[in-house]
Amino acid sequence: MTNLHGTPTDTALLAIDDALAAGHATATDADARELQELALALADLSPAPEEQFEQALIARAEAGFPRQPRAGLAGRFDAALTALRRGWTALSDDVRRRAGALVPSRLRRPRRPLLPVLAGAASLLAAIAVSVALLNDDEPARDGIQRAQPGSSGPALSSPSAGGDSAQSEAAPRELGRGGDATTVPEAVPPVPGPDRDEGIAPGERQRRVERTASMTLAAPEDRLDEVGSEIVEIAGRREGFVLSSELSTGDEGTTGGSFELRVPADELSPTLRDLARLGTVRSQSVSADDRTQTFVSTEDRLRTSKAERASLLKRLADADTEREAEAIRSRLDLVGGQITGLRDELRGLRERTSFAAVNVTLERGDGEGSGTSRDGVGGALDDALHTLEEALGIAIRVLAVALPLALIGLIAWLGLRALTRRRRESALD
Amino acid sequence: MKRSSGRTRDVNEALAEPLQALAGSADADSGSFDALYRRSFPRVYAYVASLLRDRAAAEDVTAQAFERAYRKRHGYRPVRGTQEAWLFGIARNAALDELRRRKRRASLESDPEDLAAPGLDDRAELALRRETVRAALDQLSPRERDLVALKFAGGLSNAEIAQTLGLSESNAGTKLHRTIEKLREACQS
Repeated sequence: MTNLHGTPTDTALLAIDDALAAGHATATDADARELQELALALADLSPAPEEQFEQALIARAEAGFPRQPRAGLAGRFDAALTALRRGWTALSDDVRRRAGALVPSRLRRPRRPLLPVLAGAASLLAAIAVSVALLNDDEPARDGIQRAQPGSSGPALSSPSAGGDSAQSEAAPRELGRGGDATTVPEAVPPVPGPDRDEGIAPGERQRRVERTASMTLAAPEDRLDEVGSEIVEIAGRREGFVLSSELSTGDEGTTGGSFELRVPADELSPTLRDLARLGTVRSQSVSADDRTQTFVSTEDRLRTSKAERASLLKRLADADTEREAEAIRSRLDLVGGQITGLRDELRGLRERTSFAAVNVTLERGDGEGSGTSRDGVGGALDDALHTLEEALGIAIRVLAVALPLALIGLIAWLGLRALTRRRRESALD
Repeated sequence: MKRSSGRTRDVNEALAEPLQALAGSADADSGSFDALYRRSFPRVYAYVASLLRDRAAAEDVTAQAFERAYRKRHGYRPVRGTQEAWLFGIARNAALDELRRRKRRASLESDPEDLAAPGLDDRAELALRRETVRAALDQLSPRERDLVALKFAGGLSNAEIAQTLGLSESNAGTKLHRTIEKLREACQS
């Protein structure tokens, strides 16, 4: 016995260990010796494996503990999986060996199981996907951008060519279409019933006629206002659009601001706004959409009716018996002709307004903070880098916001499952 | 463990290369799975057989334990304990799973012959002694038998028993001492 000065438990355990190490009782004390003999008897009771089993297990170990092959499709799947696993193991071992040769042994870390890594990567991907989705949802609310959906009553920017439909159509004389010919309808003509928003929404129409308008206030450094103005015009051209009007204000200190009224194809509105936003700091932006399908359909119907009436009048004129009757029909024909011209102009205007989106850009002096990507030089590059960093940080925070709760839930579930399995196992001894 | 040197070399050649990663100590040989296998195979079998008390089941579970250990060998972390504690933890889990599956206790089909060949008088005395101890063991609870099996069949140190059972070393020692005292009383009665 090596130590007789500990607690009784320590002393007894040491006596047992001494006897087991020596293979015979070593204590002189009768009590300890009895304990040692009991320990030896217990050790002696240990069953030994049979030679045949031992050999069989060695053979399995030599073969790397092959799994029992399954029949049919499952067997083929297993074989493919095994081949894949072996390939992966060989590859990773090779890479690890090569990398290990370059890394000091004290820095080498033990191999990690593949499954948790894959699970972690999957969780991270899921978190990124959710975060990106959240990020996209947030976008319209940022930077003071407002969007109105077609048919909505939200704040919509009014443009000279887009406003007050009913009032415009009921006015007599009316001016239809911007820049178009002014057509005067005689007072005697009964007013053409104007398209009313309350008439309906033309739900059966597949081809919707949506009028889109956008306005943007851009700020740029004073020394770049001219350049930005030119770029706005270039963007309109590049997007197959045109500049309806432009104005650059000049004061004692040079250019102080400006406004631009653009028309771009409706489907080019979003890219145009993106291009414009890159020119400077977007101080405000609003986009609105107004569904004009019902107005369009209604105007087409009225045009058809007017044409039919004209055809009927022409027939009646040909059959007129008296000069008085013919004069009255001619007078009516003039009125109907005026209606037809007006309705055609209205349709053309509607087509133009729904095919082209109106973009009003207001250009202001700004201190250049957060200006667009078109800035050159080291300052611009630094701004870009900071902006990118800020965005990356935002994404990272969102990813973490999703990933951390997921990881916590996963950890709790894993711990719970582990405790449950342990408890079930231990119940075998109860 | 009785194995021919040729057989040992075969196993070494087959396993040494991919199993060097199972390094728990500075010594590469002792860190390999083969070395662990050689060190612990008879003890693992003895522990599992003592727990299950069924030779056929003990062979299945022992094979299963080594297979699991082989597949999980990269998951071994030296900071959590010795290789033996890790291996016996796997074997214990496999044995408990088997026990739970069967929900019954089976006694060993037969006891192995003694390796040493004592004289006739010695043999009779030894047989009597063994019978007494076995009867005393039957009076222990399954948990106590598990503890005894880890210590005397598995040959684990008290620290390794603690690591295997997830206890503190002093707690494991106290439990072990209490169990042995209980066993001694059972032998004397």
